[in-house]
Amino acid sequence: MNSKRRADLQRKLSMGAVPKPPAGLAERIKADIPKYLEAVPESTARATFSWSTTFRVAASLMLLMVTALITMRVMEPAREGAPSLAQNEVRKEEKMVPAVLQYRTRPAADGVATTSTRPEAQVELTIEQPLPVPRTAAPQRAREADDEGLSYELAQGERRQDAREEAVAGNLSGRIAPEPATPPAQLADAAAEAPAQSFVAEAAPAPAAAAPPPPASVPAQAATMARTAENAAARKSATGFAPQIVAEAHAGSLDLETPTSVFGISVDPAVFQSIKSAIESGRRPPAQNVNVDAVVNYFAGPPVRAPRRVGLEVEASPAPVDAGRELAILRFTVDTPRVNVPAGGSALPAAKDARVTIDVNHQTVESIHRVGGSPAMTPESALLHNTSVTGLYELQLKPRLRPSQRVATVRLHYRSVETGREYTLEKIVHVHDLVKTWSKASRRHRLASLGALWTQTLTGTSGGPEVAKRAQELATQDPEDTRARDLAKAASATTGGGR
Amino acid sequence: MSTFAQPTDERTLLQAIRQGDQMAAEELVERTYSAVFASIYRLCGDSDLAADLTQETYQKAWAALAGFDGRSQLFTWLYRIAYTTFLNHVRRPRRMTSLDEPDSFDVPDESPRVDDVLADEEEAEGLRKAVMQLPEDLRFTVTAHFWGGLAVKEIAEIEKITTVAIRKRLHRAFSLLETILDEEVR
Repeated sequence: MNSKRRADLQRKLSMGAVPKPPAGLAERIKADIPKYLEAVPESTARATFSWSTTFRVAASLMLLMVTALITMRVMEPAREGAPSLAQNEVRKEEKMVPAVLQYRTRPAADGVATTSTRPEAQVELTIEQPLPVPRTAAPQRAREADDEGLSYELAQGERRQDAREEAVAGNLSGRIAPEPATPPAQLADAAAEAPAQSFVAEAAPAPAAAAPPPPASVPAQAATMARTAENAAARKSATGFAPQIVAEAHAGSLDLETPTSVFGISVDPAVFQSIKSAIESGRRPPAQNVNVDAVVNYFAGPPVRAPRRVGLEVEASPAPVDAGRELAILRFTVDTPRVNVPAGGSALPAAKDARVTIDVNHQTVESIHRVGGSPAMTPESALLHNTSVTGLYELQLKPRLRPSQRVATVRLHYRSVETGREYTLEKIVHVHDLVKTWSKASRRHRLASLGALWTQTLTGTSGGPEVAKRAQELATQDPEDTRARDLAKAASATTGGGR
Repeated sequence: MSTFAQPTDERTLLQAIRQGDQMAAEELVERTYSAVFASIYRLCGDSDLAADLTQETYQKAWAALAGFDGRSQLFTWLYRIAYTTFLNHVRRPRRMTSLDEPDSFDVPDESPRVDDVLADEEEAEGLRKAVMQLPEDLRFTVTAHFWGGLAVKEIAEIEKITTVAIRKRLHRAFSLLETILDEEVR
């Protein structure tokens, strides 16, 4: 074979151009991550030293010895008063199962345990380890709820129940084991002896007979959960891991209202509703008073699939209507996980110290301005659950750009309430991300950018009929989408194209 | 397109995932999905399909996580899953025919640079088709090495053969590719 030709072939094989992954692919993949990931397989567990492994080995040896003892006794001639095989089995379990699990073992009428619990569940012992943590308002709130009979614990309890059901399905006992109403005395001792790393929840097969929840009352359970959350929060800072309940405990200490602005961007849904009412009553909303941010955020709406963690979505496209210049729309949206909020309650923080920064490459961008507000955004001390905030930027690009050139980098910095760790999500937009036409952008992007453009048509600038036409297309594509219908109606009414 | 800024070595990341840390799993996705997408795109030449197969790859990866012994690199393991996912797709009986237009560059600017890009694309597509005509063992070796970015040693570990055998495969693959491409020109 000709070596030159072969080298050429190798070069071609290595050099093939690959497009960027489509926007939202990472989010799609992340949404598929199982809520409870697989546990360490036996083969891998063998490679790493852990206390749980040691415990298992010790338990196995004990089991072997007890079995040998029983076998010897069975082989011996029956002695008067010697314990039966069944009684020996029960004693063996009492030795192996940690105290915290004893409530799970339901004695039958004859006093013989009916469930068996694997020793891996020892993880629960360390979760209960008492730590000198200053008390937050969480237990206080739980206590108040206890006194007033509010729905707080009910919602928490529902969540616990859901988690418990999922755990039974997912065979994860370490994370969600229900707390006993009163921790047994042995618990603290056992926890004190437990090694630090063993608190990490391990997956263990569920008992053959599903363990019922403890017979604790709902208020008592809520108080215990709050205390457990405190302890877990303290451990979290030391280890970097913490159960989900930490977020709830922190949330309990912050009595936060649903915000009408995030990062200084108005997200008040009432704004568009009042515009809508005005239009429906035949009045044209005064253009100078329209809150563009709020309109954009109304049309961007929540994500189709709520993220499990704080997420950053960045998308760029040409402008919805060709304005004869090299205009592009850059959108960022920050979404937080969705949780149920009891009636009259407030959403809980998912992140703290959050801020968005946009770094523009001035070699590719002639000018940039945020649609509806000043470019500077304010940081958020607490980013609540159930939050979606969208910011739109209009970019004027320089001519004759290469596809690989960077346009902008969008970063979201935050500290997770759940883990206490700081994260930076970063999305880079290149010129080739802008190559697609506006109609190929995501529905969220199209609705948000068209909504923004519609507010501009209220000032009487041209483009109204085109906006109405595009809005009608969006509404036709998905007749169930109320936002698209609202936009189509509003655009049609304010441009005189209504039927 | 996106990365988690926190540096974590692969072993720690895997350990965290195995302990049920969702954020670690997300970090793995952020670190690898672009490369997985790129390798599948090079196999199939269709951006939308590559995205779907990338998603499917990770679905399989989560399910197979317990079976991953950690001896190979995470990406090597993911690439093997991605490749199998692609093969399964190719072998899957076609029940539906897409009515969409074939994937193309939607470039508004008709500058010569775009022509160059399209010409390169055409050539790359020809090469991709030629690679797809290779026998299975050679095809996997070529795609894993050039499109998946796996080292010869890593491929040898996956295939459980020696590195010399992998090099021989590559040599045979090049000879065959040359023949296939020559036939296309005629």
